[in-house]
Amino acid sequence: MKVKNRGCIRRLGFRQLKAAKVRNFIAIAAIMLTTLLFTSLFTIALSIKSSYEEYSFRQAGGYGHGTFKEVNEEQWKAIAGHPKIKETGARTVAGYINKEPFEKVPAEVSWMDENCTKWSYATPTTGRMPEKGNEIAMDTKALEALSIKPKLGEEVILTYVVFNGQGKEVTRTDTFVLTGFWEYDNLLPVHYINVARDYVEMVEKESLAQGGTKFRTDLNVMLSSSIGIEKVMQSVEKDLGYQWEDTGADNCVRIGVNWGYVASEAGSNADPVMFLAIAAFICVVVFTGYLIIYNVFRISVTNDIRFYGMLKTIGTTPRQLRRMIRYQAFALSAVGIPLGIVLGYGVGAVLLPVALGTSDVSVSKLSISPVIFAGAAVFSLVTVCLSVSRPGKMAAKVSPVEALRYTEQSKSKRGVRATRGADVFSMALANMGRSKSKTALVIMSLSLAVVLFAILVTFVSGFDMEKYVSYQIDADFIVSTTEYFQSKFLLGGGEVELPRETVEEIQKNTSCSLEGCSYSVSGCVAYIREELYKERSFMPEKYINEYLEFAERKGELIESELLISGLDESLFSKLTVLEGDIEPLKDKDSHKIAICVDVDDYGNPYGEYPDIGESFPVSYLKDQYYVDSRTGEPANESTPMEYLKTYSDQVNEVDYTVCAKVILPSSMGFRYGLSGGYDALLSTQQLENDSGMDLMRMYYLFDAKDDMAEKEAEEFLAEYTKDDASGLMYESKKIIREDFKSFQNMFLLIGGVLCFIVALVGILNFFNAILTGIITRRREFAMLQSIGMTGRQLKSMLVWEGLFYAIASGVVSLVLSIVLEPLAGNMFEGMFWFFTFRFNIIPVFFMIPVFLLLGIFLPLAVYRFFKGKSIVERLREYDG
Amino acid sequence: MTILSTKNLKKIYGKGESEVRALNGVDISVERGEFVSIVGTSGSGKSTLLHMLGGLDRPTSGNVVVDGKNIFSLKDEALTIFRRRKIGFIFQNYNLVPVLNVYENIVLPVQLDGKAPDKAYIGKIIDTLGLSQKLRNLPNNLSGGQQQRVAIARALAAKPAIILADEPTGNLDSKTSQDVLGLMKITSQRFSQTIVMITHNEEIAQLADRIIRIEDGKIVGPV
Repeated sequence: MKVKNRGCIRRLGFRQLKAAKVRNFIAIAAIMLTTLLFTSLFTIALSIKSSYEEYSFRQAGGYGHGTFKEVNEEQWKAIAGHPKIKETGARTVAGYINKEPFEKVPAEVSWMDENCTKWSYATPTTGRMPEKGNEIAMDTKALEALSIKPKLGEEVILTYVVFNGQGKEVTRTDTFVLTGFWEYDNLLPVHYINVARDYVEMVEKESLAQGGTKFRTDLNVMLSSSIGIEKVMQSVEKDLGYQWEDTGADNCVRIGVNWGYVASEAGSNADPVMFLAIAAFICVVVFTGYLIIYNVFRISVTNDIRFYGMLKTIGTTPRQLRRMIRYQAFALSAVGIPLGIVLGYGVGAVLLPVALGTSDVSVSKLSISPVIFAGAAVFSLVTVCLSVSRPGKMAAKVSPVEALRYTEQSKSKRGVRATRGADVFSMALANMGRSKSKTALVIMSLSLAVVLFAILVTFVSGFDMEKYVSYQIDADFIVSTTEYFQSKFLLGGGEVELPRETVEEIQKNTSCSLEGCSYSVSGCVAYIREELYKERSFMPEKYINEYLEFAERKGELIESELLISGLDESLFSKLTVLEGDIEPLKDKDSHKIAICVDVDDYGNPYGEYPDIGESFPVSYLKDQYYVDSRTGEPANESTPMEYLKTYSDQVNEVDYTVCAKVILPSSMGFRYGLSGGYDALLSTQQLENDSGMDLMRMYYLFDAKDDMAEKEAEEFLAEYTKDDASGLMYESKKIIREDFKSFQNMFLLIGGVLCFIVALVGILNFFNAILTGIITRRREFAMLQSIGMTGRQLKSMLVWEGLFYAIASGVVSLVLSIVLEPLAGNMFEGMFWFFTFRFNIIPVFFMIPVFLLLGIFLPLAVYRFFKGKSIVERLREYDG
Repeated sequence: MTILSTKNLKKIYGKGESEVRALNGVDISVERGEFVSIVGTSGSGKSTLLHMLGGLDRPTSGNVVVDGKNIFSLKDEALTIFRRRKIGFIFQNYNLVPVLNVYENIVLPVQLDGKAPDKAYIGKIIDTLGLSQKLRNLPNNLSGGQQQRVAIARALAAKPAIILADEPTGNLDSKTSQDVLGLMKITSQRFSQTIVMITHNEEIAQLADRIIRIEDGKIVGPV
């Protein structure tokens, strides 16, 4: 039989709720703080992800999921109409400029539709998109490069190379009117110069008339989700009868996935440390929340136990009582959770830049993902439900007869107590034992914050700055191009060397004790043993096997990448020779080579390398270009990365013999690794002699003569590289130290906020215990006063109680810290190579006085607030 | 010798329309060693009177003299100290401290005063009240009658000038009530204590040496 009594139970629950204002306040505050912690955690975590995505998108030039390349009118319509395609954004490129003033970041002249404009960060912030005729829009940096004022209606004369699909360059100059512009983002790989569609069509027609090909129109698409973009796009093609592999065929529509999505997916997935940290954080928050919410409800149920007993005598079932308590918890959550979400989002937003400050991600994008809010709400609710389930059971279990005479006290079976005297001190001590679980929860709650703080301080102070600095940089200063420091030297877009004039300029302005450069050449491959290639490859098995099938061979040896450095002899002192001898490198005709050995973060070498005395050939490829390794034809855009292969018509081959295995400090190498390849080292003269090519200067390194010179050099370089346009950057011990400190500060700040809020929860729990202790004993206090306890004695009893909490928390914190710190320390040492565990118990002692002060002043403040009523009134306050 | 007297004692709650005269000019006096009961129906003002006598509440006007001291001339702190030395209380609901054992409860007023309990004297009280087997028990392990006996012992412990009992048998069954009252009377005689007891029960009131009747805040019976 089902009885409609829910309404009645709910009403009872709410009435009961209304009667407990102070408890509600504390419970709401507790739920709010719990939610705040969850929300800020999720906000930061998801915002780091979204910032990383945004960063990748800007580097990729847009945030469309993918692109169908070179579509015709008909394919465009068909793709746009496919149900798996949510939105499309089209773009037709008319031409480009890659010469002065766009030699570094090229400009592309194109028409984009509205979606494409939006997805490419090319929406004018002033003015509007070009619509017809000779209207034009571009970013302010491009305007500046063209010496045009960022003002609507300005005349723009633009000369660019027209895409005509033929070998020879046809340039075109037109006059436009500026209709819109926007701020350029330094991360974008290209300057978008947008023109009207009818203009592009007109240029195309003229180009066709002169024998050019049709302009290419790319269709950017948004799918319903960013998961498995490539698969979805392929299935769209299959549905429409297109294919993407045979580039020669008519029905070929090539597919491009925005690598921003791929990169961010890869970047966000595989970080077990991060995952562990988040899981630990959630556990701490659930535990913190549990300690207080459970305690608040437990105390409140205990105090209202007569009420629940009375309800039971009139026929309320245990289930209904449990439900009543749940209703109350939900009602309080309904207030606390939204407040916590709002505050937590704010805290997250404030902390985000700090969290991002130490990463390469220079974009801070606050996530507005509903996951943040839903996640925080769900986790908070789970915490609340966990916390009130036991108090609910308590209320449900109460025996109606017992309840009517229930007062909060220890349920010791003894019922006796050794006589210790009835002074204020021992009464306070006895009062601590009235509700052992309440006392224990408060002490745990307070200790938790201290232990966390102690671990945080151990963690942060254990960071070994000098260990970190000496690993990161092996010289006082390293100067190079931005590309080098971005790990792009000699990679796509990184064919920029450090100019000789720069080095001369620096030499003129600094005084050094040691200096030198490192060089390399573009286009250099080695032939190595197949098992070494396999060992060195970090590609999936599938790709390795494909590579082995197509790769060029010289007998048993297989072609592989070689990152070759030519180091000035002056810098040889920075090397650590593990095996063999590097003297032969100084002879430019020796044909000896040193292999750079990888070391882990702790400085231990690992991996397989050619043996000393082993010989292998190296090919220096002049004027190289890429070919498709499957066909041997020159590669085009559709050639998959794994089949790209360098090729040259002029090859200079040298047989080298390994003379040494060395450790090249990571700051002095290429700063990246290639799958299946080695780092190898020659002297500068050797490299010049053997390759017969122009050397590319990788960096200039120097150690200052003395501290004074170091300071001056720092100032000079800071000024010298200040302008982004210089394309120069430098690394110094000072910069690394500052990076390190900001890394440390990030932990300190974020961890500090966590500790602070956990401490707040602990204090709130403490406050609640003191407060309810005073409220429930008001009558007892009145009685004590009536038999002659003075206000002063009463206060000192309360202060003693507070102090017992404080002292107990201090002792528990101390014990827990002593036990947990080494455990955590070991864990950190395993996680961070630059962490050295040092036992540090000072933070606990630092917190104890705070507790003592709280223990004294909190009871006094609460007592002051409640002493208003006269003894008689309080004596009468029996049974409500 | 008069140990307790009041002069034109008034206590008025509220103002104007809602004014309630709980005590409307009470003059009583009690001699040393007397056992006086104050009888009245509920709302007659008897509890208010007892609170005034014990210095738990301050009158609107008039004064109370205990052992020659006008108690309302004292400040709160001093009044509390005066109370623990001169006045013992026995409440209807015993009001024992739940975390202290029987002995600790009994000596509590003495220890609050920072004095060492007079062991011989307290031992005699305990014997008289038949509590010697229960000294280490906590209050909630005792029956109502036992708890009230502890309360009586506590009231006597500080050798007060006067004991004020507020419906001491209100929570007890009639058999136990008789026992408790008998003990009160015996101890007051043995330790020459003055007792003022309020009750609404005529039968119980009859056990006293003298009965004072109170009605609507005024003494109406024999004084």
